[in-house]
Amino acid sequence: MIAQPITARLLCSALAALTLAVLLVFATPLSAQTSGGQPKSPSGSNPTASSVNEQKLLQELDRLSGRVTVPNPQLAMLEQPQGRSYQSFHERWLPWIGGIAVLGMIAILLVFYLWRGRIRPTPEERSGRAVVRFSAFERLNHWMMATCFIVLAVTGLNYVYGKRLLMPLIGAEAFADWSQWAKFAHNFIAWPFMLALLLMFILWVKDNIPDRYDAAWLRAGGGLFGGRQPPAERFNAGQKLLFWSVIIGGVLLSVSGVIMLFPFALVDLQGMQIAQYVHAITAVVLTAVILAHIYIGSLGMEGAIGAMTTGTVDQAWAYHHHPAWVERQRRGQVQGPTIGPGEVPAS
Amino acid sequence: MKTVLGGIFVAVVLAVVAGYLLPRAQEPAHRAFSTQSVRVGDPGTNLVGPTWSGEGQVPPPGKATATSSTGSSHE
Amino acid sequence: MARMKFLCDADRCIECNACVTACKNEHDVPWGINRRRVVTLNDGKPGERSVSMACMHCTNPPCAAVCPVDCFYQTADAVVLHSKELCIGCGYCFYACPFGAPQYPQVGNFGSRGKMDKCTYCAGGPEADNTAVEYALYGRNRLAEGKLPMCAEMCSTKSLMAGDGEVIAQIYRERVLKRGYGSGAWGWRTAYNEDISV
Repeated sequence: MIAQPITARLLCSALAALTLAVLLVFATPLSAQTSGGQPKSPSGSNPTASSVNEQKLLQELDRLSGRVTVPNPQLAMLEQPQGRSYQSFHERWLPWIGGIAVLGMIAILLVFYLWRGRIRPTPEERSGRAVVRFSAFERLNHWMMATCFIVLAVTGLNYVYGKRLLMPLIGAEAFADWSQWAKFAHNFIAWPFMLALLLMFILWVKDNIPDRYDAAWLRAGGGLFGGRQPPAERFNAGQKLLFWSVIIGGVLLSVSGVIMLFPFALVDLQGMQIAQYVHAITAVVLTAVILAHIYIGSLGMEGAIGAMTTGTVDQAWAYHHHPAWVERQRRGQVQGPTIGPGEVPAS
Repeated sequence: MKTVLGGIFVAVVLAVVAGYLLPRAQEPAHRAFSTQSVRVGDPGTNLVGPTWSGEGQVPPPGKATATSSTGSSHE
Repeated sequence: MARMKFLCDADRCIECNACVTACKNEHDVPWGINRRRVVTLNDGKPGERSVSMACMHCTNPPCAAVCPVDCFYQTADAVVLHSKELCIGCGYCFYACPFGAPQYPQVGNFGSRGKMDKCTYCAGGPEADNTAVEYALYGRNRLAEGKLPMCAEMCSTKSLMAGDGEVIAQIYRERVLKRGYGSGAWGWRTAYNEDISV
């Protein structure tokens, strides 16, 4: 009978220990706060504490994606709040940037024309003799580029401004039909544009390398604001600026454009958004630059358009504006366009 | 002037050629998103239209409730 | 007027894809187009959560804002719908959508992707309600019959809820209070700029 009290004491101790253990195990969750201050679950478990949290994930990863059971990889993206940034860019920033660039340039050109008027050749610049400035191939390529650019600019601007400016005038259905056509035109004309860009680079890169006349030409403002016309080689610094704007802008447009033309073939969703930012900003800025180019080449300077349609300019005018080029032609170094049979040489 | 018209002409011709070649890069969703082990018999035309362009076509009167033929392909 | 929303309770979703199947069946959605899908985060790891996702019918919908032909409209119930007659298939709505809702019949080059398709909250489109034309273009119109979207109706665990935002938010709140946990209303801050506080 002596064992009974010991067993009983042992049992009591064991029971006490067990109770204490159970209380300890359950007391901790009982007293702990659940995440987010939510009331506790009856079992004491809190699956949310170990699970993913949307806001935390967004802070860490920027976008949420997981696993889906369908083969379309785009569907694995659960949430990309960047869509709202894209909305903000497309509907607030871009229309303003484009509007300021294009309308601002038109305003500048108008002011310049009203102040300076049409730049005409002086009497010393009219010799009556012609010299070849651009070969037929150069001119053909230029006009191919010009056609493409104008179509691309108009159809491209339609994506941003069409619904704001044109749709109220012609109604939703007609505007949608026009936009469909404009979309196809934009996509198809892009290819001759890229070809023309490549040819333009090959044809004219040699004559657009910066040379020793450029700094002085820029300092004199190209003679646009009065004063003597500074000398230049075949292309002056202003023309070189235009060339490089077109080449660099054109390459940016081409690369971003091809990326957008084949969705998700080369980049992911973020890449597509960035491609659109680059394409849109480059496009509106380059459009503004080309508006200035169109102005100076047509209305702004008399005789300029003849250079690109007939290919010839007045010899004295050429000697006045591009003396280094005329000298080079006279020395017989064939770096400009080759003079074909029947055409007037520069001497 | 000849070069101006020539430039426009070449641009248009190249654009037409591009317009003929570009749609070859097109692929309908039911081909792009099937795996090798899937045999898609009739992918269906509701919502996408018979040409899978999104332009719908009203089904003939007998099929007003449009029970799809995809459902019966596993019989 | 009700403000229709979707709420997917990620703690209840078991990735059964009944919502996907229900949607596919109800609207005869062709192969390759997915109006609704189930995305699983942290698959196989502790804290795995599945969320059923389709168009959330956002407030200030980004898709509608960026559309170049303005083919979207929001009904009195705040359901975001679009017109396939005006749509030019440019794809901007997909870049803008935070949830990847827009789908296209073709996946290749941008110009000929076909007209966009997406979850319509089972509310059809601009065509007349419950006509064959509407069914062929936009699928079934349940809302016009006073019914809720099929995906939420068919959810096996009632994790996916559809209905007036206030009502389903309240249901979710009560659930979280009763069971003691809840990972929140996924997507609500981005879509509706609000959270559900418990």
